[in-house]
Amino acid sequence: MKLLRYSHMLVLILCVHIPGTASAEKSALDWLNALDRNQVMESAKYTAVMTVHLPSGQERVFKMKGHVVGDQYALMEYLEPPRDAGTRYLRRDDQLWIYFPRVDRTMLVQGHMLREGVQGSDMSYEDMTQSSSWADKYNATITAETDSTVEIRMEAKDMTVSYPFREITIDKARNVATRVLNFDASQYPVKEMSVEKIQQFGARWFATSTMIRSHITVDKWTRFEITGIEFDVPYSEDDFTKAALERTADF
Amino acid sequence: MSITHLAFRNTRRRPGRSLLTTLAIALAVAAATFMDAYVEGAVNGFFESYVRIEAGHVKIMPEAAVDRVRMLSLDQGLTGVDSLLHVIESIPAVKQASPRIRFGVLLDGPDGAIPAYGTAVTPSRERGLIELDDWVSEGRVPADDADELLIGYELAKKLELNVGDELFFVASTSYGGLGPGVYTVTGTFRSGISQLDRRAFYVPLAPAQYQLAMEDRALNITLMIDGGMEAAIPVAAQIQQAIDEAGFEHIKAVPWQQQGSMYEMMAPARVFTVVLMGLLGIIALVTVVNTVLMSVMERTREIGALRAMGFDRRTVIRLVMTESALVGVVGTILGLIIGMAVSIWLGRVGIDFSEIVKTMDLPMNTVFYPEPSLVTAIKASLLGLVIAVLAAWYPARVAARLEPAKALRSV
Repeated sequence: MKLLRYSHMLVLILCVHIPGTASAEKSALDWLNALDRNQVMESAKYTAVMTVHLPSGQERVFKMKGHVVGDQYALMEYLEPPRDAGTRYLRRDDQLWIYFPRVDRTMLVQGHMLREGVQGSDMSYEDMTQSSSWADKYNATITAETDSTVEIRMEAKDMTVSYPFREITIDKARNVATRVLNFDASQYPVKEMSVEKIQQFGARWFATSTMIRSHITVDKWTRFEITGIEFDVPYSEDDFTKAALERTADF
Repeated sequence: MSITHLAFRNTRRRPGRSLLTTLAIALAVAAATFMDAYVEGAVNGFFESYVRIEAGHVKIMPEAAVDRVRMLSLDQGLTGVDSLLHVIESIPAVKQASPRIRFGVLLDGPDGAIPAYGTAVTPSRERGLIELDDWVSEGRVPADDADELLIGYELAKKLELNVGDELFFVASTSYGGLGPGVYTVTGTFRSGISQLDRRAFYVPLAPAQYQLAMEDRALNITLMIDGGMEAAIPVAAQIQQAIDEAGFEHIKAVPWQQQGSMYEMMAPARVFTVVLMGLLGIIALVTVVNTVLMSVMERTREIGALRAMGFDRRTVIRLVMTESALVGVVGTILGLIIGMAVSIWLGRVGIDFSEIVKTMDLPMNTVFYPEPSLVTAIKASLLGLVIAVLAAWYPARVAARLEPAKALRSV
């Protein structure tokens, strides 16, 4: 099976380390390419928990399971809470479909909705659908480097992307972006993602707990934790169709 | 012969000039009557629909929302609505209490997404508030708890929806998630308010609460009270006391006048009427001064003769002013008849601005009904009489200053 990439949503969580790629002489672009390569994955099946903390102090916990094939296909289903259980998301390339079992209807997420937070979280639908290849989209420069980390500032080649500027910190030993600060077009910080936990699965390193904080809304954050993952699951393309979405997420 | 009799005779000697003066005053009085009735009707109509559709006589809302009545997000809503209703409805002055939720959505139309807003209400609780039954242009009002929907006729047309069709839309829930809903269209409505007809739909509260993750919650509770709009402030205070005593915190009972800035925005409309009346008066005054002055100048010899016969200056002034007042009375009566007749007729049929403003999303009724009243008649009458008396003052003084000998020699 050809190499396929993870959805951008999972880039935040499933950053993979391929041993032996770190090098002291790498340029910023080399680091971005290394990150992109690490994000490349044939397929995986996972379970996760997303906790959304609202400024009111209210916390909502969503449990889900999902299947991903590169960054082309992804299918995810909510398991909890009960009112959202069974709601499924299908990503095919840059399109996102949502199936609501309660009303047995499917909708295509488009327009302004793409910038809305998923279940009120700090992760937008656009975050889920955009390509994960930073090297293609950004010019990058190294701003600081230590023995263990490298800090890179990125500027988008096309300013219409969600975050025209980013600052990232990379764990050099594990090739994992441990902190990503996203800026809007006026270079105001809007969102910060920091990895709280990295786990090794065989030869791979994964960020299994990621905190996303809004810089716009005070006291609002989202934590995404991978609770189980299985790699190289055999899928067919037919598993990621609208018909499959409306049928089941169990395959 | 009395001054009044003499003045009356004089007004008939130059019927053309008297008619011109009469018409000038009549026109000013008729215009003032209509304008006052129109503004009164427009302001009252606006307040009435604002109260019924938006504000209620009193609205129960979260304290945090008081300063931004039209900008509430769902997570700011009232909680424990059923208990709150129990407290509110135990107050005798409360006639009707209806919890409401307003939410924005994008609806899929044949030509792309159409921004719209839904209002979740319990139709049976809206009697006296939004009279959905009166608005229905086709079909019927949704049942209280059914997945049914009443939609503005223009919005329905844009969405190519007919009665019996289903409408699927996804709204943001109170916590920012996605709430799907499928509703059967039971009817379309024509409210006469372009913003509603083009953008709005009504759904029953219960299914909307589930869709929006707002069970036992609402954005506000809208109330109708005994005593109507005038009683809103004291009754709101009474309701506030009951809410506080029942242990609810950070919830306010706000009378319609204190919700947002609508009241403050519309109140100056009446001042505007006074200014316009003043301008009308000045225009009429100039016309009448001219005609009365010409009348005096034409009668220089006659006035000289009167002075020679023993009429003193004050009597001449009285004579000219009485003439003007008599014309003023006739003009005022004529103007009142015309102004009131037009106002009463338009008050019945209405003045429809919907075609003119059809491209604007106005949150108000576009058919205005003038409301002529006794106060209108008194204001307009005073205007007519003041014009007549003021307009005669200068010509009367000119007449009084005439020297009898000189006046008698004039051609």
